[in-house]
Amino acid sequence: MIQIISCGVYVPALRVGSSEIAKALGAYAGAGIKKKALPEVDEDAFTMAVEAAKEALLGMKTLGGSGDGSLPSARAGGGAVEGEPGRSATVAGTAGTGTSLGPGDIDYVAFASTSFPYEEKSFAGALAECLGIPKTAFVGEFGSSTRAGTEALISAASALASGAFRLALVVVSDCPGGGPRNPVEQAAGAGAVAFVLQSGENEDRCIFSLEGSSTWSKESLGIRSRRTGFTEASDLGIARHSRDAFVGTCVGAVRALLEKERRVGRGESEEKACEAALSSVGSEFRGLVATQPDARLPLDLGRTLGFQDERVLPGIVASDMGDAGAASCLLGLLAYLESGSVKPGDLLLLVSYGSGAIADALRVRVGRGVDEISRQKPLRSLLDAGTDVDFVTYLRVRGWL
Amino acid sequence: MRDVAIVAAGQSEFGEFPQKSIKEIFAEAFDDMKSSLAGALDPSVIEAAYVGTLGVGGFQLGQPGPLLAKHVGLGNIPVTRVENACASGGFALLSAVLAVGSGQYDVVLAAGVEKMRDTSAMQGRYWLGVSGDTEYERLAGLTFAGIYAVMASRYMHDYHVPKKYLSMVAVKNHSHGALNPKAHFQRKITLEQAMGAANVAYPLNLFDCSPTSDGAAAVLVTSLERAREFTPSPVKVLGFGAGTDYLAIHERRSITGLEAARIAATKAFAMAGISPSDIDVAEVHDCFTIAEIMAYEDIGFAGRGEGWKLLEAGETTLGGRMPVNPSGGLKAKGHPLGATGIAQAVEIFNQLRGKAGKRQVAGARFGLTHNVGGSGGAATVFIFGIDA
Amino acid sequence: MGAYISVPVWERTIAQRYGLKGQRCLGCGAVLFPPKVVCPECGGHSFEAASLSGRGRIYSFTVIAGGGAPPEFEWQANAVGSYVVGLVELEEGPRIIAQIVGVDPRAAMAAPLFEDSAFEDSGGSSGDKGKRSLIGLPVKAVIRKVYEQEGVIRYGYKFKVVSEV
Ligand SMILES: [Zn+2]
Repeated sequence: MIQIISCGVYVPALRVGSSEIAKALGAYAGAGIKKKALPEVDEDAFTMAVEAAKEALLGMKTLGGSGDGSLPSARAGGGAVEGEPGRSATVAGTAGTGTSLGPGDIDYVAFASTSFPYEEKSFAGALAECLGIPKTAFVGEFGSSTRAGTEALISAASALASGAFRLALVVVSDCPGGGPRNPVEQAAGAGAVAFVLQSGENEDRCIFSLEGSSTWSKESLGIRSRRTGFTEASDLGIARHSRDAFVGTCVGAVRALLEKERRVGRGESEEKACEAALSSVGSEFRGLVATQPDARLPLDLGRTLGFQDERVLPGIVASDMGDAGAASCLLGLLAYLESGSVKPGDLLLLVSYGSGAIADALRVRVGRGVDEISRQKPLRSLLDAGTDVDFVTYLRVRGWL
Repeated sequence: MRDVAIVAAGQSEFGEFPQKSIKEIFAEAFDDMKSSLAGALDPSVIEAAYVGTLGVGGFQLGQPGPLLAKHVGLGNIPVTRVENACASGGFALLSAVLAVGSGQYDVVLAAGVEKMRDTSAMQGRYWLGVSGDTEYERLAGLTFAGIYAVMASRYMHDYHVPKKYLSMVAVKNHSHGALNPKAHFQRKITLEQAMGAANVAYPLNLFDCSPTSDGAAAVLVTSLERAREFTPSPVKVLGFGAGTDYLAIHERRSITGLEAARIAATKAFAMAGISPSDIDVAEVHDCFTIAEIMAYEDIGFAGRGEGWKLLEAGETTLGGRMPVNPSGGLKAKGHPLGATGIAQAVEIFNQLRGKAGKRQVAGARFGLTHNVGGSGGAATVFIFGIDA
Repeated sequence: MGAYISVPVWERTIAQRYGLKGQRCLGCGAVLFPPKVVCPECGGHSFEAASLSGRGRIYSFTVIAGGGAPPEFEWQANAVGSYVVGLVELEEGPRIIAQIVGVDPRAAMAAPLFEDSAFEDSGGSSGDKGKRSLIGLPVKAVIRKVYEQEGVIRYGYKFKVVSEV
């Protein structure tokens, strides 16, 4: 079983109200977004990733004493002193007792974003340096669409399932953007999320587990994309076309998940199979979490799949932080988990969408560790804690004035 | 070491002269120095020269010494450029004093020059930060004012000093500068003006900072034996000291005083055989107002954390018990980096000879100069007296 | 012209910039940052590597007016105007200069510098940070973009004020 044993989140402190943008531009394109998170001038996808990852690693450390012993620890004890290169770093620098997991135990890192600060340059070394992860760890980057977050998660889960890796860190950090009049920019928020994953059976430390995933893709043109050499994402602005691509692709992935696991639809027509899947999914899963280019599309998807709005709303974060790109559905998942509306054993349907178009559907089982998500700050408190800035400050921080 | 004296001293006007070349400014100081002599100066008697300059603007990063020495007609003598940031002048003087004191030379020129007001705003900002620890101070975004501001914040915090006292340094030195026809700023300012100026590096505002200036200064150093060949009233070097410290303030144990300056002062007083209370007039390195307050303590005019109290009673104002920076200091006279340490000696030379005009400290017998490089990475202190 | 740290030299300090790697003197136990060849406490020459926690307190600070920022920081000054630079005293002992993020420079300038009793651990409430001097406040290290030169983004530590423990 692939378990997520520690999580970290990061949301930059500044907020731009949608009313502030609407007042300045006369219109606002982010449906259901009340405000969006704005990275400070010295923040980017990399710095936010480090923040979220550090928290996840810190959370993992607090699990140390209750260790189930299933994981061989690379270090005995810990402490502030570096022993051998690459095996050093305890984030907190204090000595642990018993079985203690540290950054030195991580051997698989997946980093996802649609807004890496460089188009060509690996951030493997940079993340490893910042986090104290051995330089020998496998590191991969995912970033060709907003689906990159679950792409990273699935890759890590597969790596662990294969038995070739022991402990994985998945970091998804994104701060999409465009020009001041670009609809993508208007909704663009920012945030990062990090997970530590292991393959194990002891459920005490499990916040949630991944029970399966499916992917579905379809050529879809003219929706959000960014061509090589351009810094701005563009969208032809054919609203219905974009919505259909989102909902249609996501439904395709959900259907594929159900087909895979229950062999629904074998021999039936595609349309009938879809209907069969859709009719059962709302009763099987406690709730739905989806990628959030805005705060309305997940509700649209939910209605299509048979989820009432209240079973989707706990996982909507775009309303308070804007479009966090590849991180949005995973931040939404954490928001759902900490909302108090799930209990261990519940199933959540996680659907990740990327323009192009492609979607992943994941079966998420809430674990016993859900009540003790060992994070210093709940996501909700970060969302509530922002500092509002006016339109001019927003432009300055973006570097446009 | 044999006795050493200063027999002639002069400086250019300090200020903003974007179209004057470095050579012209230097020659102006050299000529002013010559005019302090009763008779003419034959340049061929000068056996060596030390020129202090940081090199702001990059006008002549290599060999400014020969360039300037030949320009003013010196012989083909050994000329050395001395660099220790804002203490380049003080260390040039130190080199000259040692060269004469050692007996190697009898007549040596110590000079300093800087040309700062012809660079673009961007170039200027580049140059102003070059004397901190580049890797760990400047590249944290810290300006030079910022480094002193960090010291000021902690000083004010530790000793409960209101901002007013920093501004009082500026008001005092501007009032002195108003009496100095060669000062960069020759106007008084009010305490309200000083306190209300725009922030530069909190808690330091514009009036807490010395200006960047164009200027040069020169002194002629000779053995005391031969001093009277040049002037009937030489000024004797009674003592001197120099010190260094970690360049970066994060490496220092204390940031509310400058260890390099304390060491320099202690050595200078020991050599002179007098104590801080004997000093009648002093020129101290007030690149920022907080620096003058720390200088009071590092020299020994006041105890630790008590320097600012001297301002309340006006003890360091002209007419007070022990005037400090009668020239206007770096704050009002101006701060052409390499020239500053020499110009301090020029002022004390004039004060001790009763030639300081409207800003004369009556009956001054012992004078002191205190010149600091960077944020305290290096410092010199000299004590001078009339050779009776 | 002016101050310049080349990319290779910067890269050599990555362990410090990203990971706060310092050293411990084998002679006297002092923890040093950045690494040195001679211990300032005892004159010793032997060290072992030591990772710093990144936790500390603001020992002193300044607010740099944007107009006077070093050229490397012009982009930042243009975007945010003034910014805060602090001298942070780390738990392990060393002091370190870095920018302080997440602090309103105006509030930092408005707070009195020497009502120190107000920001002891047991003292002031965390709700009125605007009126408290930054001096003494607890901070933790974060990674931020420091500046960009020759097309290379230079990341490194800055410090963020955290609530009292
Ligand atoms: Zn030691």
